[in-house]
Amino acid sequence: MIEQILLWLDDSAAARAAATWALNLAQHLSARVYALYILPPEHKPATSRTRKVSTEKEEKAWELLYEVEDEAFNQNVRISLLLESGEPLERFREILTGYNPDLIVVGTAGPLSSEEIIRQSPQPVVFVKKTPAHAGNNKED
Amino acid sequence: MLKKVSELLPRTAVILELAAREKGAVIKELAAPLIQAGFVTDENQFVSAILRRENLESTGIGFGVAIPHARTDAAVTTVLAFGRSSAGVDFSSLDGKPSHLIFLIASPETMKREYIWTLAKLSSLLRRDEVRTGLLKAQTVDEVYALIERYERY
Repeated sequence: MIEQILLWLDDSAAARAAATWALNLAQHLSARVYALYILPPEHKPATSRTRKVSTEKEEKAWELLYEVEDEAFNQNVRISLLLESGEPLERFREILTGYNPDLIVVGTAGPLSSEEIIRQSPQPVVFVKKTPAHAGNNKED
Repeated sequence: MLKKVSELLPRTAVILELAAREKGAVIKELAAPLIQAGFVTDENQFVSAILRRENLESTGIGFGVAIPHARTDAAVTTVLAFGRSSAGVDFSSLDGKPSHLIFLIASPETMKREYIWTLAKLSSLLRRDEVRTGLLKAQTVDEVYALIERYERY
């Protein structure tokens, strides 16, 4: 029984396609979606310029999360937004432990390799490819 | 050009200590100044839209912050209200903690871009410790504005 779906988002078109797929599935199953975005750590020294870039990245991440939230609302899907910062692998492991999702949905161009995600996930993982409807994002898939 | 958070928050919609303690009542208390100023035209429609979202999503983003929001034709433009609760209000935050800083967002159906941008900007701003601490300590409406204006410039 799939009651909780973890949707791991990033800036790729494949992640947008994964969002659409996950929301459609959640609607059919009456499942809750946890939409996750992990901001990687900044390794550059903190200056006003790097702070500005970092704030802009965070705002972009929130924009994506709220876009998905809006889509979920229109489909009557329950959703919670998770914006995390840190090493993607480490944070991903913590989220899996903390939320114990029944299914993980991720775009094929995600922040970790598909092998790494499968290795870390005790639950089934679905990888979603970019579709023509979701093309046009900045990041190449 | 999208407006800054401080430009979307009318002075009359800043409530330094909310009287209400329960989520629905808090939403009505925050909506009241927006209705009085004519930014929201239909209280029932607006509050229903906010509560419908609340039933599907936890708008408590953690750290003692909640951002209840809705796009509805009951809103004339994108606008904010801010309230502070010393006691805290249960907004079903994922961290299980009550919300002390509550920003309400109203936006018309047609202003999706501005609505998403405002949510993103506000969420990013409120993840900063210094912003939350400053908002909790602010003694006057002027201090609230000064703080938001200072940090929304990055």
